[in-house]
Amino acid sequence: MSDETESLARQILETTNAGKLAWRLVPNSTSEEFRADVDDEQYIIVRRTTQGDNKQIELVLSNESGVILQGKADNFISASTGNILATWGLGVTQGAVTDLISSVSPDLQRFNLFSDVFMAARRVATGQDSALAKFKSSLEKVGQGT
Amino acid sequence: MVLDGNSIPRDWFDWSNASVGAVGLVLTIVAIVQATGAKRAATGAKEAVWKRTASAAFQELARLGVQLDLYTSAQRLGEASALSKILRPSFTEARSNFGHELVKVSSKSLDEINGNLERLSEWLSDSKKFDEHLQEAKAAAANSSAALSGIAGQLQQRER
Repeated sequence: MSDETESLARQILETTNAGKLAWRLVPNSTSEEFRADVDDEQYIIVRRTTQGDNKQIELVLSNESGVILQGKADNFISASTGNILATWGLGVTQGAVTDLISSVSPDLQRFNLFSDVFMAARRVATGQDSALAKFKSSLEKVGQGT
Repeated sequence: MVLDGNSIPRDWFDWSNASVGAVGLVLTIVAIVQATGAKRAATGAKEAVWKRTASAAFQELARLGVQLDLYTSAQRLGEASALSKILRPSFTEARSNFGHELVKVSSKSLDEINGNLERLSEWLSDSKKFDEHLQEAKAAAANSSAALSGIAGQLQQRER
């Protein structure tokens, strides 16, 4: 079930980055929430709840009749992870450090994937992506004019 | 040879003096050689202790660097910020104390670590800034961590 959510999260991320999903802000008093309509019946919601250092990101795929698929990811780091990091080997490359972190905290990869979806949705909803695209286009025009 | 009553023959006296002088010279040379060896051993021991101290300092920095990388990657700002506040001054101090031990590390690399830690510290201090620079912050933490672990590894090898 979780693998299917992650697979869909990747697909949503790609579609968002391609500018094909129109995300919008959904007012929510307890969390930051964005919604994108896939068609007239189906929609996606991504929601981030923050309490201190703890963050939870929820991805919900729904249609008119209810929730189709739902997945959550949090940034919790277990005590055992800290212990492993305290006794790790030295002189490793950056890739090895990344692998080490992934191996001691596999849930973090899922959280980072959901976080990427959330950030992409927020960029679209707040107009950052379109503003940047407009700026680049204007810059190109200025460049062609000179 | 002229013997004058109970007096010691003059040649004997000269030979005796010369012998004492020679023995004294030999003993002095032996003492100098021993002192030089002892000084060399003491200098060697001092260097070994210094190398070990440098290695231990950078191992600790590398360990903190990996933790900072993990907490930044997990977007745990409070914990990452606390680690950053320990790591930055510790790195500056270690660089100042053991800079001459870092023969294989360019000052540009050390400046890069410092720059990454400085930027990261600024982003970690503000959740909005952190969100805006999320990917850059993750890269800064990962780069610092890898560079510090690389230095710690080098120092550990030199120590052996």
